[in-house]
Amino acid sequence: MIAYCNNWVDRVQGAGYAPGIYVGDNQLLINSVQLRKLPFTHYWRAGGSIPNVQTFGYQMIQKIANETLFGVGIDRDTIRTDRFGSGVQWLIR
Amino acid sequence: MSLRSKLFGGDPKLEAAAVSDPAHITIGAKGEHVRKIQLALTLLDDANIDLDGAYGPETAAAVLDYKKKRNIINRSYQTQADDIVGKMTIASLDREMHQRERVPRPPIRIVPKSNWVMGSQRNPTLFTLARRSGSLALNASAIGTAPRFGQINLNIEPKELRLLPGTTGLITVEDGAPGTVQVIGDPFINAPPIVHLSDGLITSVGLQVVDNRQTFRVIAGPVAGTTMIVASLAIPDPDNPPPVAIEVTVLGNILRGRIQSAPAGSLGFDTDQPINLDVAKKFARQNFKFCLRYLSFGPHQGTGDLTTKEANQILDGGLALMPVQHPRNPWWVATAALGASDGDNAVKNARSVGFSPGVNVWVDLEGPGEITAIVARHFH
Repeated sequence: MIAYCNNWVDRVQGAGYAPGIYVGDNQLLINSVQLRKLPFTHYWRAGGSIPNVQTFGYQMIQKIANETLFGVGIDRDTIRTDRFGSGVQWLIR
Repeated sequence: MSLRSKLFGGDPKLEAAAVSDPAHITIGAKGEHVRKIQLALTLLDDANIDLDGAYGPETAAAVLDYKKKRNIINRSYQTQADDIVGKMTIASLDREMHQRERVPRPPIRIVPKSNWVMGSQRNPTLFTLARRSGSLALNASAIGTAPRFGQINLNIEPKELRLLPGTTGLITVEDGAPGTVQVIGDPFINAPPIVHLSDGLITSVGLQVVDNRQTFRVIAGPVAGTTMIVASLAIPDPDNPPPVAIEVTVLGNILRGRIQSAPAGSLGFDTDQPINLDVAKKFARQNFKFCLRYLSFGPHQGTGDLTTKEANQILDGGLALMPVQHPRNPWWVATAALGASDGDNAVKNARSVGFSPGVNVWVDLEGPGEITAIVARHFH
């Protein structure tokens, strides 16, 4: 998985984009040594029982409510700044 | 029956559709043959559809519209037009395309769909095709800067180019290798491409075609990370070349806007359903500030994934936007090779929609589960 992430980040970052990862709620375990190699700097926490961030920080928090608004099924997300004062980078007009 | 237009002729799926009822092309079809149909509908019927190679509802509606206008109805079993490209429709499209290709055209212009973003905005890309001293020459000039990322601020994305009436040849733009200038079809190219760079700025890309072969292709990328131009130009009749100069202005589908660090506390949503302008405005009025929409992990955006048109509507509706790549099925296996290809496709699809560098592109790794454990441990 680390190799997957490293390559994914390399390609996306190499193109000039800011790679981020959505952290879902599945719970298979892997070697704890690998966790320090996770290459992302932008984290988005899924709804559900995802652990709170202790060191890096999530920049976006999802709340799953099976909500439909204006005919569209959505999950709500809220922006945060992480522990380094960084936030997500969006495109806006 | 053999299709006669240069656009359709020789395409196995279109040739099959021209002679076989079961080979008809209908909603759900994908591929280059669909893109050719979309291009024909755009050129012949001014259809306002994405040239994405996906036969979705919009393409189906354009087909139906085309058939209604021409009263294309198979009276043996139907009383009104449908949205399927069968034998009668392909014959009609091919006939009109063939006629269109045979008519000499005045100089053409490809109209930009959006403006540059970031950096200085100067001239658009300019292609000129001229017959000079017995040779055909293609010169492309492109100017742009993107000081923030050290890249030339010029992305020409392929799928959004649209040829307006007056086209002399068919010009398509495809993905190409970044940071390089290549010529494909070298048997009839006797000189390497000429690239002039000035202070990180490509000022011109040129090549010469020494005989009257019908097609050539140039791929030009300005600097690492940004594909600039990949153009393939087919000249319908090399012995009767087009007017002295064809001027084509090409602009990509870069989404207009600015990359911004999102303010803390902003409320948004993610959804796998397309958002139109009206819905985007409604969300904005409810104090939603942004939206996340999906990119495919495949090489092309799929049905229901984010398109340029939708992205513009979301942004025009007052919402900020970020892309996220779809999760795979629950039991996929993460490998290094897959990470590279998924990353490449995330980039390709983000570019095809028109995202500028700098924006967050998210990956959704819900499936294998390991990642959650990684992050959980990391954060603890």
